[in-house]
Amino acid sequence: MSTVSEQRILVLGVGNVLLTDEGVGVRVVHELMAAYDFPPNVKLVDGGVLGLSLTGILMEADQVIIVDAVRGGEEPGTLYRFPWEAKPEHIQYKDSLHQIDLMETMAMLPLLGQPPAMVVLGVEFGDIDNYGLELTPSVEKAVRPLMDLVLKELEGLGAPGAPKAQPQKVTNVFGHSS
Amino acid sequence: MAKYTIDPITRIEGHLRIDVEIEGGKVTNAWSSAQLFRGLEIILQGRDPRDAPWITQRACGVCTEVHALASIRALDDAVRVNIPPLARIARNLVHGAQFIHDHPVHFYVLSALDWVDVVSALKADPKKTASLANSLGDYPSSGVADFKAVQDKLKTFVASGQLGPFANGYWGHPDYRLPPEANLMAVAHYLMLLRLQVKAARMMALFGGKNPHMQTYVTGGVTCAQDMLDPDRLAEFLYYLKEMQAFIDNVYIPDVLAVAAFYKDWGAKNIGGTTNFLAYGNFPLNSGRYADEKFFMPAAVIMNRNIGAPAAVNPELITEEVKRAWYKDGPALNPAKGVTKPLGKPRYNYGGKYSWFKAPRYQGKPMEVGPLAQVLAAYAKGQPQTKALVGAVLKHLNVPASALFSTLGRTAARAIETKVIADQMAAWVTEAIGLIKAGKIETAAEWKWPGETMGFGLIDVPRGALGHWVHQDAKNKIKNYQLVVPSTWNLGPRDAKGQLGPVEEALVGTPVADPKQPLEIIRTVHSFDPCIACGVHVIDPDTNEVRKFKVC
Repeated sequence: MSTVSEQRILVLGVGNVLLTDEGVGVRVVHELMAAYDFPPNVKLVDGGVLGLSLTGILMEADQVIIVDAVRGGEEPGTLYRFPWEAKPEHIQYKDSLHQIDLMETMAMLPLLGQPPAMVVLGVEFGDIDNYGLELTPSVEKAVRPLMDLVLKELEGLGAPGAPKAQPQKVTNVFGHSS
Repeated sequence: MAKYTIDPITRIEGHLRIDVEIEGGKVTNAWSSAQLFRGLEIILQGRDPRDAPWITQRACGVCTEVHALASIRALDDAVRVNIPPLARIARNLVHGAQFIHDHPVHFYVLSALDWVDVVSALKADPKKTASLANSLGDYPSSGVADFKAVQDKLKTFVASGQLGPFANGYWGHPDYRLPPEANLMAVAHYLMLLRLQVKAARMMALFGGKNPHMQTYVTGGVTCAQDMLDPDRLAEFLYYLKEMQAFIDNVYIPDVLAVAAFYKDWGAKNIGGTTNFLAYGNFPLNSGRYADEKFFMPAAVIMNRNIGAPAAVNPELITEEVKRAWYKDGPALNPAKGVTKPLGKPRYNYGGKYSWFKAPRYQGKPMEVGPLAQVLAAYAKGQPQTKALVGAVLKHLNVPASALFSTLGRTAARAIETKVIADQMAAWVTEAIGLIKAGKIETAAEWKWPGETMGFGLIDVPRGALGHWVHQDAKNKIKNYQLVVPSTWNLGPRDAKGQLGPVEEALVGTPVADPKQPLEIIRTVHSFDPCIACGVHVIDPDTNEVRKFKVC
């Protein structure tokens, strides 16, 4: 029986960074990677809009924290936390353009073995219809609180992050090395 | 005449809409429509060209590497840099791994269930399944206990009510022809592939830099110098390759042949076939501009199914038309001069505009791209490995070469291409080791901004011919950027002359047993591996179950 601190934790930011608020989960993961150090049992991954190719990463975790944009009908910027299994039939990925998205990949995991426990930390989006690399102001304002929510979740799992002595700056996730 | 709309056509939600007219049990007319505007071209304008590979690979959850590659090839071309041999091999290895991952995933996860009835597998006798498997070939894990275990797993899965990937099937459709035992065998291999693709994904990541998004390709070469020079890394790559080769040889190819044997009339009647084929070429064997490049998988244009007369590819003959697409009308333009002017309020009009895809044409003709085009090109150009394998497959099934022009041929070509590429990759690793031993360890060439310039990057990717065109201004910013992606070629709409797009042409004549269960149509559409790029996805919870935290 593994102890709490030994469990393998995956923080998975998902979403399309080209579609305004849709990429907020990816942004939060990049911000966390730039500003915090985490215990070795914690892995942070920018999952983008990948689906099936995340299978390995998901199955190698005991606990997954998914960070994503959420449609909950509240004001943009509202934060959410819910366990993945709470009501999976009511969780739908909208407008996914490929056949195998994350939702379908999750549904396949039981075919492969014991899937990880999953919790979703999310934020109500403002705009996910227009192409744009910047978040809308209310979602931008929610980035820090969402980061804190992830940190709190990790702390609860016995795997707290520690602020880096020299945090790196995240401008956008496309920064080429010039 | 009754029109039927199939939307979405992908297994879960999608943005490809197919409309068909059916008369006398056959499709008599078809329309393929992309339902979402892709604004990548617009987002790229004014940006540093080096952003393009990073941005374009974010468009899609499957095609990350391929857009990065086409984009970087366009940038290499724009600044006129020749990449060093070791960089070329690194790119070939990463790109090859992409095929070895994507093609088997396509067969098992995205299309096999159009031919294999999962529910029927529940009725199979595991003992008879084992005998069947042993009679067909040298399959691994083919004991009675293995099939019993798969069946039990499947039963548990179905009993849980969470059908997942099996939720939207037309189970029990009269045109599912495999006996329960063959269905169970296929399901067993579906599960095998699901596990194995994890390793294929790792293989892509080995030289691909930061997993899971590709960061290796840079203008002038690759950044993975350390990894390329590391013998342990090369050995690890070969280890995964060997495992994938065993699966391709002992499971994937035999399964395609086994399924095809039940559907040979689809080949004989050319169901799902098209007329013209375009392959840009793949896996460069030298460095240089496109016209001077030689490819392991050759470039060719094949018109009117005439595999006796392959022509060279001239990129200037590529145009895109917008007459039937939701863009402002204009002339057919080469992508180098392409414009993207979307209409504000698209209205679906069967006789007019009906898709967000433009209609790409070569010499004014619609062209099928993808594995069938790539295999036909290699076959027509006499590439020995492809020629031998195509011959062996035709002989095994006892069908003529004309059967290739079909949905079945497309499915077989995908498997053939996978094997040809996988079998070549070890040779590239050997070549890389030779270069390293000879001290030719450069992985990126120097280059300078040339002032205003244009470039293009053409390459075949798992879904077909992919092209990126870039126009940089004197300040080294993107002035214009155009992508013509495989699914635009295959799934694009009619043109000004009314010529049907390839998937539309492929669907006409398809028999449909029950219009309410358009399984036969889905087979052909899926065989093109539709990928209309880029996701929007948002979690929509039952609000009663959600805990909320207000942001101060």
